[in-house]
Amino acid sequence: MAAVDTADRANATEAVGVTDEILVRNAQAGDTACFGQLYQRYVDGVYSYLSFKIGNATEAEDLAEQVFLKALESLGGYKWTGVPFKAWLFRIAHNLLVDHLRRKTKRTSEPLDEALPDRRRETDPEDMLIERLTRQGLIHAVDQLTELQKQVISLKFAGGLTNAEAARIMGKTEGAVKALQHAALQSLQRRLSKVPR
Amino acid sequence: MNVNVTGQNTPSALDFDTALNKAIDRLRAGSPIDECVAASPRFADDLRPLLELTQMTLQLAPVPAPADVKARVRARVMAAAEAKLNRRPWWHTAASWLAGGPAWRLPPVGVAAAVVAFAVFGGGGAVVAAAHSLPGDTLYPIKLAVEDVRLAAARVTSGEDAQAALRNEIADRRVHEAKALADHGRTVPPGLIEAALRHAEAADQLVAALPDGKRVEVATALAASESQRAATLHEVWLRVPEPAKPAIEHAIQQGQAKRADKNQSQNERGDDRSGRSTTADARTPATATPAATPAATATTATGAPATGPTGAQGGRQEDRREDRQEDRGSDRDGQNDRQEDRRAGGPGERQDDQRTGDRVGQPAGGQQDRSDSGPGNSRDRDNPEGRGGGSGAAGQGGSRGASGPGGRGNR
Repeated sequence: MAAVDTADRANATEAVGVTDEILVRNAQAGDTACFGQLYQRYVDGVYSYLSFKIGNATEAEDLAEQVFLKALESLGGYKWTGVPFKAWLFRIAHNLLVDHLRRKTKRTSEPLDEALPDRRRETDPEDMLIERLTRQGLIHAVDQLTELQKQVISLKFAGGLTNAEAARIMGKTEGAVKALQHAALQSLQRRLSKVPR
Repeated sequence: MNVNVTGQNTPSALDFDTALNKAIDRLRAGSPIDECVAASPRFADDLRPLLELTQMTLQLAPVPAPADVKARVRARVMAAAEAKLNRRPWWHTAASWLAGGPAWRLPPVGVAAAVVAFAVFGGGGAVVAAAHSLPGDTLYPIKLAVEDVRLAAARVTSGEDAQAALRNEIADRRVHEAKALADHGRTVPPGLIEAALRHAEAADQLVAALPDGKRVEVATALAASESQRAATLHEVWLRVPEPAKPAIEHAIQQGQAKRADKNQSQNERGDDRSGRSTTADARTPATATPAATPAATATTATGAPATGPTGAQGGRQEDRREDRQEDRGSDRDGQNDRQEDRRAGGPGERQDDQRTGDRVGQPAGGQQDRSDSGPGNSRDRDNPEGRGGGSGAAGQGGSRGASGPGGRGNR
């Protein structure tokens, strides 16, 4: 790769949609800008996944940082053997999340942490309150699901992963993920019907 | 329709899972619920409430990191990345070196010292093994580091002649490495040949700084190596796949151009000093010329164009001397035409310029039949002593009269 200014390269790679593989290989070779591109690419999904599962903005931020630091630490050992970088990264996030939740006797932020940012930028206080309460009810309902169902909902709907990516992280087949998704939605439907919205 | 999700192996459950998943994919892609449901009318009643729930979940669950959070985390993560990733692994340094980095400035003292210590205190076997390594091999960086130590030591303890010999030796190594890679069907990094040219050029610069008498002696020794390198490069060019040829040709052309410029200046300086050739005479002995490229030898015999990376052959010294005598003072108007013709020539392409008799775009080290050359060959004018009379694929001098991809038009 021709030597170009780091910032320019960072912009260029983002602009032309350089593959994760190229970014990872460059990062492995010492290109911090490419690692920065990977961070930009996945920080939202990772943070969203973590915050949805934890329900606490501060903890989600800390854990998101740990995810990328862990990825940085393990980057040298990452090889392109069929596991996409995104799935590898979310696997790290999942493992750290499991450790994090295991250390906690219970969720400190249940109900939902007030500091958790709003997804939408609505300024109407009433709309914001409705959204917050609705999300709180959703998270509460998700919390009642089985671990596998929770994982599917978190990975797919909060993390934005595909069935294939979720299947890799969970060690399941895509068919199993589809079935878990179905079961999770049905269970949520039942539980949310009992939750004031 | 009530789907039995507990019996997930039943066809209905599998079908519904698939239908639900497709509907969710559509929903995530932005399709309205009605459209998603309409795509699977069989499951419409069961799909709709789940899709409404999915839509709500998709709206509420994703919580992108706020800008200030992203900035804070990024700052901490990138600081760690700078600290970790900038400790580049050895193979990256080697790759940079091959890609054209300043070979004799790159190795940190610590690396050099470590290599020496490694060699002295038990790592000698590895160093010996590294001497036979090739680019891409695990031990190759050790080989490079050892060379750098030798160069650094030579700069301190040896004169220019010894340093030139070392540079020449390393240039030979790079070329032989390229050939070994090509022989094994491995990729020849363009930087490898560029490194060879850099070392050869460094050797020439060191030679140029020598006193006249010493310069002739050392240059004579280097000329044989250079001729052999040219022949080897020609073989490499023949063996590498087509996509790799241009890079090699380019590297050869660059080397030729630089060296031709340098030779010209040396010639002029030599003329100013003594009116006779020293370095270039010694660097281009007639005996070293045609043997450099077998294809060129064939050309000499048949007059047919040979295939190779450069049109670069001297030879037929007697004819050339006669031609040069005739060329002196003759018209120079034909130069531009020949230059244009040569620029138009490409690899594998040959034209006979009837006006001048020059062979244009001759890709191989095909020998230029000087007897056909028309007047106004600038090389001859610039080099009345016959300097640069012959070289191989990477050579100079004679190549300027018969340019291929690596050739160079009259100047």
